[in-house]
Amino acid sequence: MNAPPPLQKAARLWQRLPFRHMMAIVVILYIFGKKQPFPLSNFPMYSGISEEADVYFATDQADRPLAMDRVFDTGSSNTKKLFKTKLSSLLSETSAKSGEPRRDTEDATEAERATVGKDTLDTLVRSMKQGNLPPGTTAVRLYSRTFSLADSDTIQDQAPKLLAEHPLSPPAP
Amino acid sequence: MNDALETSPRPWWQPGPFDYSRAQLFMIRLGFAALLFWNIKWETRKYTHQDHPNGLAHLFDFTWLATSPPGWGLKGLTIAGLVLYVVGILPVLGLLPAVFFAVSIGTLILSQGPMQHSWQLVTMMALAQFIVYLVHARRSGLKPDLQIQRLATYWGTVVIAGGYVVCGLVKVIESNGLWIWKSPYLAVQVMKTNWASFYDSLEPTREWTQQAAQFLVDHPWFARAFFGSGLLIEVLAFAILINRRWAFWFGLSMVSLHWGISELMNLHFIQHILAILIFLIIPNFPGLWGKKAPEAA
Repeated sequence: MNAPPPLQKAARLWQRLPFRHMMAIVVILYIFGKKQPFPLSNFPMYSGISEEADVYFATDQADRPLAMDRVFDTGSSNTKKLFKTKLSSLLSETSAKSGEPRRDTEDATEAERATVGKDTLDTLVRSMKQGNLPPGTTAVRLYSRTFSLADSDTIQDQAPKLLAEHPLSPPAP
Repeated sequence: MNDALETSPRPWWQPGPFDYSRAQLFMIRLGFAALLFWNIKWETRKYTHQDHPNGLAHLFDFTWLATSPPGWGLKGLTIAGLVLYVVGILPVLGLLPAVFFAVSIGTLILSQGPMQHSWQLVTMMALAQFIVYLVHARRSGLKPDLQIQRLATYWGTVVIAGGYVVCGLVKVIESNGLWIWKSPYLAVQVMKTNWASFYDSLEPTREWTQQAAQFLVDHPWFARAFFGSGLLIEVLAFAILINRRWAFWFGLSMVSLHWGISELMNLHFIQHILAILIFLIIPNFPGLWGKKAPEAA
């Protein structure tokens, strides 16, 4: 039995489409990969270009940086993504409660950033390898540091902002 | 996934499977099996929750992988399956454990919150090959013939091409076509990624990368040419499907793109580079495989 004419036409069009198999993959990844359900992804890394970029890091009580891979079994980049994910969730919850439009993470208040900073640091501390802390560490801190090209032709390295502090009891031996 | 099986001559814009020999296909599958096994992050003990469910985690609970991490029994089963895939016997059954663990573990890890982009391409390549074998299982499920093996490899290559093209398109669309124009601002990302690397390990940052970042700001047209050529490589990645020569040379340019990113931004897409080496460069390396011998399908 022959297919209906519109289907036949669609089939002919499909056959003529340049690089049709790849085009199908591109369409699938672009549409269904937007929310990145694993393993689908539209690979959006660095698609949005901003004048600013921030990096997240941990220090001890004297602001000496801690090797995040060794101490927390996770890196600076993952910590930033975790912070942003948690901040995004908080802003969605706030928006749902208040009925106001959801704000961008860039527009979060200092109090919201501090709440999420504490939550993120708590997550880091839960996976912390105490034995890999430098001796005498009594607290860990989470900072963000921003590099900016806004209003300048020189890369501005802004002073790190303290997001949260977590006292250790007992301190690292 | 059937129409690519046609053997009649095709125009260059309607590509199909390459005429790989059995030996070349064997080497591709061997390399890919090793890459796929390594691509799976088997150490799952610490992922005890899925607070930010990703993909299938909306439907299923994958935290059993944390409470009962796959031991050598299940890893052995996966390896045995991959051996079947490599030798070309029962590939549907052979790929099943690897695809299952790649998808399950990847989903669980991404359900922790932070997004990663290292494992998707290889997992999708495995899925695409699995689907090809599954679709043709009734015709040749036990020992797929040369045509089916070429088709499976072709779809792996199609996924590479599609992944890079969509990555480039997203840049163009998200930036309203201004990505290349705005690319000098990527200098702050160069600073960020290099400092992130420092905070990971406390290994001193490379001094030249900070100078390079400022150089990109001071010479915006150089930055546009540099990052713009990278974007072109992504958007034009469909060229790897045209023929084997294109696959080789364009594959080299894709590796050079990753090498540049790796040097400048300390971002290493090892899985992507290995996939390109296995599927595009090694099987098409001029002179490596001797003169092409025609082989019956």
